[in-house]
Amino acid sequence: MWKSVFYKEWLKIRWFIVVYTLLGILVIGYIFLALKHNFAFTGGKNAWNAALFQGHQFYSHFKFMPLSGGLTIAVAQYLPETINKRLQLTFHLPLAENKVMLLMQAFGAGSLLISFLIFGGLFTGFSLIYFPIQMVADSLTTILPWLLAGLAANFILAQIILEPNRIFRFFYSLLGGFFLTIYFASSGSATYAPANTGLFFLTAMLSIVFVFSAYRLRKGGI
Amino acid sequence: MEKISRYILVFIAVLTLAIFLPWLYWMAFEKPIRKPFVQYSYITNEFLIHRVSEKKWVDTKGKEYSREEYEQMLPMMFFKQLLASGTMPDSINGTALDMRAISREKSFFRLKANEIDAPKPDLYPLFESRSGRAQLEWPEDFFRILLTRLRTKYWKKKARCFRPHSIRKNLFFRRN
Repeated sequence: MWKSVFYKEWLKIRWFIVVYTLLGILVIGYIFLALKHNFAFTGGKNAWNAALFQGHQFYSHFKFMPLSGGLTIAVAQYLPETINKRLQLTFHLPLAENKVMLLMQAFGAGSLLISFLIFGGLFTGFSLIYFPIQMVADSLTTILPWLLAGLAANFILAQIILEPNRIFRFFYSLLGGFFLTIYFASSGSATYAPANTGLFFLTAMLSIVFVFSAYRLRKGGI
Repeated sequence: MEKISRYILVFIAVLTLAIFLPWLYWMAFEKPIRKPFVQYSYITNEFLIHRVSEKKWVDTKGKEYSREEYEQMLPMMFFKQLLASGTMPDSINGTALDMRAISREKSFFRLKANEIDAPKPDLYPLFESRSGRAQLEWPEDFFRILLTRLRTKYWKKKARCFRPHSIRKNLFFRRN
């Protein structure tokens, strides 16, 4: 049964996730093209000094890439379900209602994670050509909250889209918008290191919050 | 399941509001703090405070000075102004002043609060002190120190001593 649920989700998001991943790869390609140009024209010495002592982040173009991915996938996955309350059909499947919802969410988040892993792998690989592992590790520490923000945005938007009540929707959007800015506080490289564990657990907790919206949708909304 | 998700929702809502309501409050009602500029005068051997926003120059006992008096008590800082107005002293506490030496050896060091404890990668430049050049030059090499044993010992004993013999490896990176 879970295979069929996954297939249904795949049909909804396949082009979105494929195009998004390709776009992300292009962004990473651009980042390293710019870095290569920078190395060639101002020299490796300057690039290193900028990264080490002036807080320059050569990957800053990547900042909102995971966020946009999370939002896109949430829209692709859940907006069609709200038209004519199609999600009600899913609840008639011979599966526990919460389990179906969690399977759907797991597929969406899993696809995003695969994209993010591809981005992370490419980023790490290319970075190691230009920088030693200490600097790459710091860059990854800086990027991690952005990736978590992508997942969190996905969960929050799922919650907002599935919520049947407009007033609830409004407050979820407001709170969610504020909440997401936690991941994007302007900071130097690796300054998020002490916060990353906490953010990880917060994001993990967020992943099941939308069950509440689905529950309210199932009961007809109040 | 619905219950757990509802609790988490409330928890995250409370957390978010706890961060952003005070932030919005202080955004609306915070009064700006005018930072005073404090310097030490070795003529009076006292701290002198320049309250920039109030245009006041005072010492720690609250005695007010005019701008000219204030500048005369800090000849190194304002030596160009004092030279222009002809009030530069010839000597301070018996030491003769050489204008060239002042302008050559005056140096400023600025440290921002957010630079203290900021994470830095464990990579250090190795400067050549006897390169024969007038100024220090940025080296082509960076090095790192792996202090594996030192670190475990530090955490075990919380001993604040440095043990050079426990440095296992120095690795050098060459920059392009």
